[in-house]
Amino acid sequence: MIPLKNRIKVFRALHDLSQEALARQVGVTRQTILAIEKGRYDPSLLLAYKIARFFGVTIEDIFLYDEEESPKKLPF
Amino acid sequence: MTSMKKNTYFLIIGAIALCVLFSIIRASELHSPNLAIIIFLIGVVIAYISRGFVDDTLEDELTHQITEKAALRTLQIALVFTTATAIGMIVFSINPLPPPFEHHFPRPDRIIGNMGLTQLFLPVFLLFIYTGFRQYYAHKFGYSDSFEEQD
Repeated sequence: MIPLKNRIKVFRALHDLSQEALARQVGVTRQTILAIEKGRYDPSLLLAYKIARFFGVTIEDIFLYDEEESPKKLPF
Repeated sequence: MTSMKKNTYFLIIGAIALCVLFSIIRASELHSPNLAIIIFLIGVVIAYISRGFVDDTLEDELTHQITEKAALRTLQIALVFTTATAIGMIVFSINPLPPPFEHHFPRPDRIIGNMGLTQLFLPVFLLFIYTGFRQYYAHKFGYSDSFEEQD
């Protein structure tokens, strides 16, 4: 759907973290983490930094830009 | 009280809504709107203050984006709706309805009630539109998905 893919779920599993716990650590709601994991929402640069810093990695380790996949056009 | 859970906050909002509803019923029995207006204003203040005590994250960048998009669409619809209503009112003022409907709109003896109803209708109408757009954008961004995926 959107060209930004991520590996948050993998990093969560590695750190044995729930979505709720990660959300609390980076100051967002659990639904936002879920939306990012599912690729429905692209986080802001600030949130991407917070998530990457929390896991002790770079943004590129978590977020991958897929140029091949074009965004789906919605009416609004 | 220094902190509050999100659900407690929502319970307070529900209690305030009930108080406002009963105050409107009571005020209409007493033929005095003061009680309902005062309770509504107090309720808004209590809700605003209570929000500051909530520990959990109520809003973040995704909710802001959903709110922003829903509000923009609601504003656009409100502009179209109010302009269409204004055009209709101008036409009626220039050329009133023919008999026997000439006193139907607006009735001078009910002008305040008509204004009140119009003012009440607009926010309620917009609230429904806004809620609909919020649901749409929440679904679009996956915010309405409530369950954590299990491996």
